[in-house]
Amino acid sequence: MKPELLEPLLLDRALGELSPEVAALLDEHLARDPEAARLADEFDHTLVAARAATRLDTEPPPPPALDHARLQRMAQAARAAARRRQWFQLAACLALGAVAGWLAHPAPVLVPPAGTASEQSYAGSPRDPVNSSAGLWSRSRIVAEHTGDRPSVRPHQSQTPARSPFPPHSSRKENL
Amino acid sequence: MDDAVAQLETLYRDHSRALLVYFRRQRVLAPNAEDLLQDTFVRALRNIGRLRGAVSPRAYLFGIARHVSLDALRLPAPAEPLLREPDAPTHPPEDARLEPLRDAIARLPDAQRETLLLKLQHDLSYEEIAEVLAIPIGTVRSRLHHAVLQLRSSLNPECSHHET
Repeated sequence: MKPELLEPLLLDRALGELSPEVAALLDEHLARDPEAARLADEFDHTLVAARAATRLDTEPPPPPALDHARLQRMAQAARAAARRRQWFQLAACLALGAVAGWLAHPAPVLVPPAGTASEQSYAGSPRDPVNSSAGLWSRSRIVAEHTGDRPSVRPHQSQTPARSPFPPHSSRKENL
Repeated sequence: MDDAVAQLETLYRDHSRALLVYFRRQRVLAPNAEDLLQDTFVRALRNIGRLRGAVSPRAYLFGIARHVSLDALRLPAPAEPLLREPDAPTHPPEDARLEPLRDAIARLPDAQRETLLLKLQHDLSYEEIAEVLAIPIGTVRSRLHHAVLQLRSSLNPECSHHET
């Protein structure tokens, strides 16, 4: 057997880590190889001396009884911490749901009452929600739809047929 | 919970002495060894599920004890390597030949010495030491082999010269 294979096996044997089958095979080899047997004896002697060198001279006193009071306190603290975690997780879910709901719904638009100065200010502006270049959610479109405005025909403009408010191929960029 | 405490009682009865020796062998921690022992079992109760599923409850408890030691050593105190040999008591004359070996053990790298002492003083297997130290079994085997070869060289210097 090669030395590089034999030495780890002998060390495992000295440390008591060989299985019974492998230990028996190794002992048979040692019986045939005096040099290997000498090396095995050296390792055994080293381990015996090391155990003696690290052994305490006096027997330690017996350990105290298990502290049940401390265990109970720890168990109660762990249960309280678990309950706090559950409440925190529930609160976090509720808060997340509220924020998501707020973000999903647009802010309500304030529609000015009829005859106010703000409505008059729209008189000169394009009031055609269909042909307007304003976005779908723009204020002018919403106000116009709410007040029932219809497209106004100017003298210099040709009357165009009514179009669907949702053209199939809109290239307008909707400014939200 | 009562079932867990009952199981912990059984483990305490079986392993508390060995764990107390483990803490008392560390010079810095020896005065608080009993308190650290209780801390070990408190932590074990926190993870009672893992303890129940452990292949070796003894190794699992030693692993917890090691972490308890490391946490205690992090407290403001002079830095001490784990498992340093305690102050040598008076030995009988025939044990004086072991002094060179004790010096050789003290000179080992910390990782090798810790592994060796877990083997020699607590008789843990390769697998148990691997679980305590959270390292592969091959690393445990390698550390122990190097440590034993080093100690053999200190006992028989002429043998190490012949083989090199």
